[in-house]
Amino acid sequence: MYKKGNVAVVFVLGLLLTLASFNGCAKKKAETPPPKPAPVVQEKKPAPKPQVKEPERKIVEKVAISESQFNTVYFDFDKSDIKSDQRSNLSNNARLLSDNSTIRIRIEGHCDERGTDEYNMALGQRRADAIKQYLIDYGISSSRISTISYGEERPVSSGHNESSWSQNRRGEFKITSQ
Amino acid sequence: MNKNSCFQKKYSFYLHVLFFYYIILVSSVFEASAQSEVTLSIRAGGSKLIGIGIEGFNTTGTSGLISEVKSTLADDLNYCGLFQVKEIPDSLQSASQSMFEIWKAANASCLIYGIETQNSTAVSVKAIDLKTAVTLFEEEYLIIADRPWYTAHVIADDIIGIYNGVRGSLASQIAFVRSNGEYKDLFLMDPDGRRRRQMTFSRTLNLSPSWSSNGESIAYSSLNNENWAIVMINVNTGQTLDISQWPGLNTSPSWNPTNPDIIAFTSTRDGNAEIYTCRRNGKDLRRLTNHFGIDSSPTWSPDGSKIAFTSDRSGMPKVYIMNSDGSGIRRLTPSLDTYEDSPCWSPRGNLIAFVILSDYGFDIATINLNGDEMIMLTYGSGSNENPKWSPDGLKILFTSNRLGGKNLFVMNWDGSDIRPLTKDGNSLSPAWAPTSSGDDIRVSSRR
Repeated sequence: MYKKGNVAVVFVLGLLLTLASFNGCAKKKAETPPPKPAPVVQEKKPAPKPQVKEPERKIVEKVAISESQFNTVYFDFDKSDIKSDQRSNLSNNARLLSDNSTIRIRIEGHCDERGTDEYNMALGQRRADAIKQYLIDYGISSSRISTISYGEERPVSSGHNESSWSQNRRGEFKITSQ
Repeated sequence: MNKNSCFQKKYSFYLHVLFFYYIILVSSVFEASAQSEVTLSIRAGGSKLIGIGIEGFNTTGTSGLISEVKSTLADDLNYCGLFQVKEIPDSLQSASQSMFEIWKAANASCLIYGIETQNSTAVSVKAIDLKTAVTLFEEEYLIIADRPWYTAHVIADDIIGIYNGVRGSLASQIAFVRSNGEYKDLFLMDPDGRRRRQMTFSRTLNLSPSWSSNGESIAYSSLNNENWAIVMINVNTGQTLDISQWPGLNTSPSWNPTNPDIIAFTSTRDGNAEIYTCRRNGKDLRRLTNHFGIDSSPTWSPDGSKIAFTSDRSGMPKVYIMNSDGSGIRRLTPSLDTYEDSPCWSPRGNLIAFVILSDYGFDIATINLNGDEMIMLTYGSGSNENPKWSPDGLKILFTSNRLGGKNLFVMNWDGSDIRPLTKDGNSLSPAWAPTSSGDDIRVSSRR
């Protein structure tokens, strides 16, 4: 009994020491389970959101249009006519608008850095107007299209060579309402 | 084919270079002069400067204001493009000649003599022609303690007036646009580039400042709720007013130099970029141009009777002139295959500065009103845009990327003495304000 008791004491002490030495680990292990419920809590939290989001999703399913689906239209230096190689870009945009009759858009006309700011402002407007006219000719109602020029104020490429300039001479489509 | 001959061929007329007073015919005059309609010069020299001496401006006081007036006056006279301030060489310092003789020996033809008055709070200034010993003018100016430089600017403007016929432009300020990330705001600085201060804090794009003829307000183009509007700001109060209460692109305002109630500008309000005028309250709108091309960037003749503008009606942007009621439109710049834009009418009325696309990028040129004499002022050094005259007609401000980024520069009207005014790489689109009369510190005017 005495021996047994000794063995039991040693065992208990050993167990305590072992537990003590692994205290840090044990704590971590002990804490690891809570993260499991945590996601549950997180999952629960957004739960009310889907109730709000669901109607939105339904609209998105109906429209299924994002700005990135519209092609950017590029222009030649000091020109505002739609180039033949840009017509397929633009007719894709026209089709998107035709298929999604509730969408309203803003066309943003841009220029490269060459030329004076003031002239470029007018040139950017003319590019936006040229795109708008194409869409109207395609059958899109002009009331769905607004235009603005940013001249040379909003370049997408900051270089000072033709490869940058050609990216900056453009018309962009922005969705103003779905 | 070298750059020059290529440039020449592009213009189809002969090119001569006035370089440090020597005219060099760059290439075959005989071949090209057969087609010659226009004389094109490239100028890299400058007019002969008038030697000027500054004497006196000594003080018995301790404020140091008069010595600051003297040093700023010397900077102003060296800067204005008419004078070179002379120093008396050591060899003449102890000469027993008269003061006039010493300054003549130092190659000065005019002497500015200043004496402090009113307990160092004013200075009496005489300008003396050293050849004839005639006093050109005599005037007493107050020195305001927190801005002695202003007194120097007014004195310099008066001296410039004697030689130039029109007073100088130093007691003035320059409005310009400074970009800060995606925003652009209006700033002001003195004509020497000092004392920079911010005018607008609108977190949008503000462009193309133009001063009212009384110097009280600046009109500019501002992106306002997805619409480009013409906005007017009172320089003293900072109050703004949206002049253009209609949709569309409204840009490039230009204030009538004889009537602070009339502004010309570009608008697409009727569908296409045309030039309009209206009153400063936006009323009495008049459409001056009617063409399917782009018409933009109006600039008034100094008497307000004509307007020069950019139009691409011939296929490329070119400078045109019309009467201020829109009649009598004629192309000013020659019928050549070049891109020309951004006209600015000189205060004397005889020249128009504009931007031309050369083989090296955009450059500043001037052209006379017959359109038969064009002078390149910048050439081969970066892209140079937005030329704007100083009110005295001696200087032209412009934007250039020659130092990297966009910075403001100023040069003499003949293209000489190009100086940077900013170095931050984010400054552009300058406009020089009308000069202050200086009557606020002129003792004779205050009596």
